[in-house]
Amino acid sequence: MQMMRPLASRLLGPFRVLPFLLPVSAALAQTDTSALQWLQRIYTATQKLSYTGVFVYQQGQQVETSRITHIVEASGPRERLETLDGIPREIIRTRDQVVCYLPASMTVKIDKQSGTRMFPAILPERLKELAENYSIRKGEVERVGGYDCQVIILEPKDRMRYGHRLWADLNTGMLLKAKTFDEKNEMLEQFAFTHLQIGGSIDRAQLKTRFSRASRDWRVEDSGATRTNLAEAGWTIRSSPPGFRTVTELLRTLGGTSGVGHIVLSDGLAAISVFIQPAKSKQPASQPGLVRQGAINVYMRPVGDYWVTVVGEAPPESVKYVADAVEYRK
Amino acid sequence: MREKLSALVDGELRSGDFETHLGRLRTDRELRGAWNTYHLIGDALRGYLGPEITDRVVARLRDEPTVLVPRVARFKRFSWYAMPAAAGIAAVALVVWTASPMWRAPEPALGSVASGPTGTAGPVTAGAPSAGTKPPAAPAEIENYLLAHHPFSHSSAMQGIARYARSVADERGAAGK
Repeated sequence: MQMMRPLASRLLGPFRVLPFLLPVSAALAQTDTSALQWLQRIYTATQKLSYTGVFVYQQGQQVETSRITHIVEASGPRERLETLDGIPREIIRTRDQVVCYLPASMTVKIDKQSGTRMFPAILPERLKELAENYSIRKGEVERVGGYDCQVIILEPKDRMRYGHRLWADLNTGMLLKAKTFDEKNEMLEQFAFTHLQIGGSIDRAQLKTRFSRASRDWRVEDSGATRTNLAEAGWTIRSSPPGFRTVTELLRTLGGTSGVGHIVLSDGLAAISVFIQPAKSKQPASQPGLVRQGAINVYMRPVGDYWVTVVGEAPPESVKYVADAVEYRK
Repeated sequence: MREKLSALVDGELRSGDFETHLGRLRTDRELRGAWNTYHLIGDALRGYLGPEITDRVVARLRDEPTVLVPRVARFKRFSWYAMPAAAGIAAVALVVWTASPMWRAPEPALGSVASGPTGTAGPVTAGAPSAGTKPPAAPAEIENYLLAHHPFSHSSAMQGIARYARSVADERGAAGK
């Protein structure tokens, strides 16, 4: 590590990382509790802080710049994300719903879920679970977007999940950068803030959609998601990949098709979604296979008169494992 | 090779590969050039560049006939550190990766057709047929799955709504189909 420091940082070395900020836990191979506490801190910061900023999402050759504004109000947090490249697309998230404005297809997508939090919590027991599936440790202190950040490294303990590197602001715990790595330790994607204002006065107008007038004529797709028990109806996942367990089961409308089954599995960090829908809602050209984008893998296969689609920020092996384990028994 | 080099610069290469690539770096002039560039980009990404270096990099980028950095001017109004970061990330994309579609092509027949349910029994009742549904790999359809999936991602608990960028980023491609 030491010898690979960029030239400029070697020259500026003494000013960059003050000795007392050097992490003491770097040598620990296994999870140390202070690293776990950092994860908790990052989560709390995402929820409790008001902030506005610009970040980039990079995946392979693709780079997308977006603006995000997150304001915590008495009624709960409100968030708006707007892409800054190309046609502006927007997502507005409140406590219990997510609304997407997609002008290119003139569609408004509403995902409202009674009993399901749109801001999933990282609970202490989930943190323990996380530590069972990843070696979690603190890295160095590095600077991102002008903020000194603690690096947190999550190394997967097997090949069923990806590795992560997180950069969190030393003062607030706010996550400023995140990279995901595959099993060859090659980067799959990254998020990084290039500009961020934490706290202070943030104009509430930034939470309003620019499409309120234009979207009146757009097609509205409501997910109408409700909790259900798919096992009762005969759909089960024979076995989950190691470390993953089912966290919720829903019935929803997806892309205009109602009654789509949705099972969610999680290992404490990565989630895998299973969608079950009637084959007749798809075109006959459907064929089984895998597609990927950054850290997301999608695998589809027919099961009788149904199509099973598995989506997850997990390696192809895990996604395929789940898809192959879906069965219907009645 | 260049991706490996990038990993080496980032200190993310495994120790086995490490020696090999250092060796190649010693003999390959072109690679050494790339090595220097990556470090510059890396510094920009991490915000280590001093303002004077930043100005030079940004000036150079401005002169380049690239399509991936149209936002450079836009970042001017932000404080100085925003610029190297934005320019740096765009430059990384330019330098390191070769062109590839957002979604990798499906690998057909990776799965086997399982002996599954027959008949119409099941919880999943056939809904109104959608005019918009397409074959599995159609970006518009995949986007539907992505948007439905995101709220459950615990990494989205930490990264918040930012995670959604990866689904909305695809919308232009989806709509174009």
